[in-house]
Amino acid sequence: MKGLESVNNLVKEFKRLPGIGQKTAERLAFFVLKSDKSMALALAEAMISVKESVRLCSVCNSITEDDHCEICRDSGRDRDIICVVEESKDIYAIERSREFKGLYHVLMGVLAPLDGIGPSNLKIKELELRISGGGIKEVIIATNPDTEGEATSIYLSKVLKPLGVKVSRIARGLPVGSDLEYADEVTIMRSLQGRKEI
Amino acid sequence: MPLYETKAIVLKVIDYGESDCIASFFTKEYGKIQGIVKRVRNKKAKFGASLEPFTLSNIIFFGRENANLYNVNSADIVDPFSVNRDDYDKLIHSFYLVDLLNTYLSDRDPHPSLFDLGLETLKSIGEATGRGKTETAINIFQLKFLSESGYAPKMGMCVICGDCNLTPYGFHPGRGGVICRGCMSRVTYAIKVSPGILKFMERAMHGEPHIIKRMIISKEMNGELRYVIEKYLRLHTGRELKSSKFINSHLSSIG
Repeated sequence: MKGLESVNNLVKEFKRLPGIGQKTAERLAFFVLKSDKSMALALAEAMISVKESVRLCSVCNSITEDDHCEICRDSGRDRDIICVVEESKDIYAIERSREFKGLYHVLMGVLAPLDGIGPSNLKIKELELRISGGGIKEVIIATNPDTEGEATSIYLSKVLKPLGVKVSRIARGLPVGSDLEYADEVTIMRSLQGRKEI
Repeated sequence: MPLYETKAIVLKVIDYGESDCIASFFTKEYGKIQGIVKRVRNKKAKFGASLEPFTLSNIIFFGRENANLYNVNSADIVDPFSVNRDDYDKLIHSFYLVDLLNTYLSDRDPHPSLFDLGLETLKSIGEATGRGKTETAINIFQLKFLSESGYAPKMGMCVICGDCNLTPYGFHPGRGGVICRGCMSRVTYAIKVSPGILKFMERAMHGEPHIIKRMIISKEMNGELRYVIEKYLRLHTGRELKSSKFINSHLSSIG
C-alpha cells in the first residue's frame, strides 16, 4: 500500500511467521490497526517477554523461565527413566498423553547427513553425562519415525547401551483411527514387526 | 501440460511452507528432477513413507517440459530398502549415495545406467555383511558415477608428461589422473597411491557390471580410495558433500 510504510512493515513482519501468507498477514495487520493501542502493546510485550525470559533448562534442554524446567523440578516424577525427544515441542505432545511420568532430554535436532548435522551438533554428550551420573535405568528414544529419526535412534542405542541402561524405542506403526487399506507398506511392515500379544 | 509417471529414487526432501515440501528425485528417464509436493505433512496426507530418502517410489508428476519445478501428484513405494535403515553403517552409506547424486548431478540429464547402478548399490548395501562390503559398494558406485557423469579421471597415461607406457605411481587430483614415478617427485599435491588402487579404479569405471559385482578390496584400500575420490571431486566440482564429514567420522570411530 502506497504511503503506508508502517502497515506494509507490519504485513512484512507477519509474513515471516510460519503458515502466514500475504492475505493472512494483511488481515492480521488490519486487526491490529483496528484494535486498541493497549492490545497492540500487550502483544508486543508478550513477544519481547518470551524472548527475554525463556531459556533452555540446564538439565534437559527444554524451554523454561528458570534454571531448571518444571518437569525436572517435579519430585513426583520417575527419575530413573528418560525420554529423548528432538525438540521441546515434542515434550508437550507426549505430556498430553498423560502416559509418561519420567524425565526428558531434548536433543535440539536430529542427525541429518544430507544437511551435515552430525552427533556433535546435538546434545548427545550431555545425555551421556546425565546417564553416567547414575540413577538412570531406561532411556526411551522418541525421535520421529522418519529416516533421520531412525538414524538418530540407532546411533543413540549404539552410544548408550555400553553405559548399562535399557534403551527402548517408541512403537512405530498404524495411527489410531486410521484405515489399514490406506497405510503404506513400510508402516504395515513396522506394525507387524512391533506387534504385541493381547 | 504433460503428465509423467516413472520410478524414482528419493534424494532429498526440504520442508516448504506449513505443509508442503520440495523433493529431489533421480529418475531413469528424466534424470534428476525437483518437484513440489503439496500437503505432504497434513494428517490425511497420502504420501506416507514414499518420500523418505533413498526410497524407490513410483511417482506421477506434471508440469511444462523442462520445468525447473514440477508438481508431484502421487508417490507410491516400490522398494523402501528397509534393511538399509536398520543398521547405522548401511544407513549412512545409503545417505551418502543419494547425497552424491543430489549434489553432483545436473537437473534433467538422464543417466539410465547410473540409475540402475544406484538401485543395485542400494541393494548391495542392504545385503552387505560387513563394513568392507558397504564401503566397496559405495566406492565402486562413486567411480562409475565419475565415468558416467563426465568427471572420469585419466587413467591411461601420465597427466604430467603424457607417457602412455607408464607404471602408474600416484594420482594428481588437480590434473585429474594418474602420474608416473618420475613426475611424482616434480609436482606438488600428488597423492601416492598403491598400484592395486589404480587398477581397481580403472576396472570399476570401465568394467562390466558382473565383474564389478565380484570385486572386493581391503579396509585400507577402501579408505585410500575414498580419500582420492573425495579430493578429486571437491577440486573438479568446487562442491563438497555434506554427508562426507559424517561418513568419515563414522568410519574413523569404528577404526
